[in-house]
Amino acid sequence: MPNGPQPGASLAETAEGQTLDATRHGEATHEFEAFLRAKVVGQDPALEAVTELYQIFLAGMASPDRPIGNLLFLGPTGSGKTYVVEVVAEALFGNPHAFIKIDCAEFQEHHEIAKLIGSPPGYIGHLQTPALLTQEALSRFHTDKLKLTLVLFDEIEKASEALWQLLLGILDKASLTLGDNSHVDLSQCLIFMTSNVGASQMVTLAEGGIGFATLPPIADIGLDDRITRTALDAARRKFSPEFMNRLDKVVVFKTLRPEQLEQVLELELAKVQQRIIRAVGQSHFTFRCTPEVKQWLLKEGTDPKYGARHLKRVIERNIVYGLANLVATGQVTSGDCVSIGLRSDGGFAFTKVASQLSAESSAG
Amino acid sequence: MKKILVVDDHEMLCRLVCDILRAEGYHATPATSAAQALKAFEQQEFDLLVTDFRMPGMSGLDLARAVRDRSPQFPVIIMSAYEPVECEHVTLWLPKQYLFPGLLEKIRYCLSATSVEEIAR
Repeated sequence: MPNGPQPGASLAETAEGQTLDATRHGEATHEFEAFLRAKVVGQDPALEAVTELYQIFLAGMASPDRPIGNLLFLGPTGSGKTYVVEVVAEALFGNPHAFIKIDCAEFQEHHEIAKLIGSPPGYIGHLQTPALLTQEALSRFHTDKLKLTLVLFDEIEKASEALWQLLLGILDKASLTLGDNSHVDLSQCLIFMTSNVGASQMVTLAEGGIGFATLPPIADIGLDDRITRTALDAARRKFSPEFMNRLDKVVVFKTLRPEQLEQVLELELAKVQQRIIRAVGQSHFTFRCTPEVKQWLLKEGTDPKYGARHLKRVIERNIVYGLANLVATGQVTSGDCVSIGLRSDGGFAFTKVASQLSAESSAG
Repeated sequence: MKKILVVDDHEMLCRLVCDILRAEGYHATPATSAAQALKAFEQQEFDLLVTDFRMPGMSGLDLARAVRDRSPQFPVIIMSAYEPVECEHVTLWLPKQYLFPGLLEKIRYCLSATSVEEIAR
């Protein structure tokens, strides 16, 4: 039995005093983590890292002159790096878009930094180019209870040198000077950065090595470690030590396995049903997909290289548009249940399997 | 983000269309009558009107006329289960039987065209 505190151990009175459990999370943090886990598949280290920082923020223990946290997400495209930030925003603010996203690919030229901080005095556009990272912009999503801002720097490997210098200042001092010389305080920000460096090597490892292997990855207990090491090595080669030293945590996103992609599909289909309920309220209809349709959606919407990136679009085009057309033509009304199957010619078959409520249909 | 006003007295369809448009990156506002739509026009600016043809009270055509009276070049798409009617105030017609993905293509087309004349060409 190793020494040190055991997670979840009950508190005990000893002669020296009461034993405390420093691994326990508060109720708000538990709820936050549960929300993330219900929506994100296969990326537990990322969720744990964010939860830990959130707990520190709630406890008021974050360092006053640094951002609340600096997280670097590494991994292949379609593995859910940006999605995690969206889910965090949804958990905290009820809105998956409640964060500031800076697409570093848009700042590849030195002068483009003006879009972020505004033009400096003496330059054309001074006081006319609105800065993206202002104090007002940072507090846009603040609520009475939560004064926290999520900032995402996407694809940082594409950033210009000017943006790198700016980023180093933000990560270290939580401070930014705008073109009009005003200062922006980022100490209440959780900074996320994403990068694809090392992604191709990670995918090769996950697919089973060099060659043309297209088989699903075999369970390999050492594989995750090798993928993590590969990504971290690539990041250390690409990014400067000054940058790496300013990070609180580097999280490597794994390529999703087939069973995890199935879970993602179930989540996405549930989201479509939620959308229908949210859009039309009590007078909604329900739908369900046969296993053949689910397999078809997985085949069309996922692949080893792009993960689940195209899954949403494939569901939108093949399920959502079809359902909307049925509603438009009055074939589906409130209370109906639609079963979606696969026809022998490969097309989708929409069948009304139940009608609980009679409702007016109109085709205007 | 382009702003689209979607008008249909069939509330479920109206909200579903808005939801799909939002997923496509548009700012979509639902209205379940022409009167509601006109009120929305008074309160904010839109880039495109997508309206049902037959609605109780004011029809989609009358709504298109009212909008074009204020802004002659304003793009209007009418969704209809019926045959198109010749009308100078309508930019494009779309049969409801084939609403999606046709509506998205027509919206992209309307919003990328700079004038009604360009669409007519």
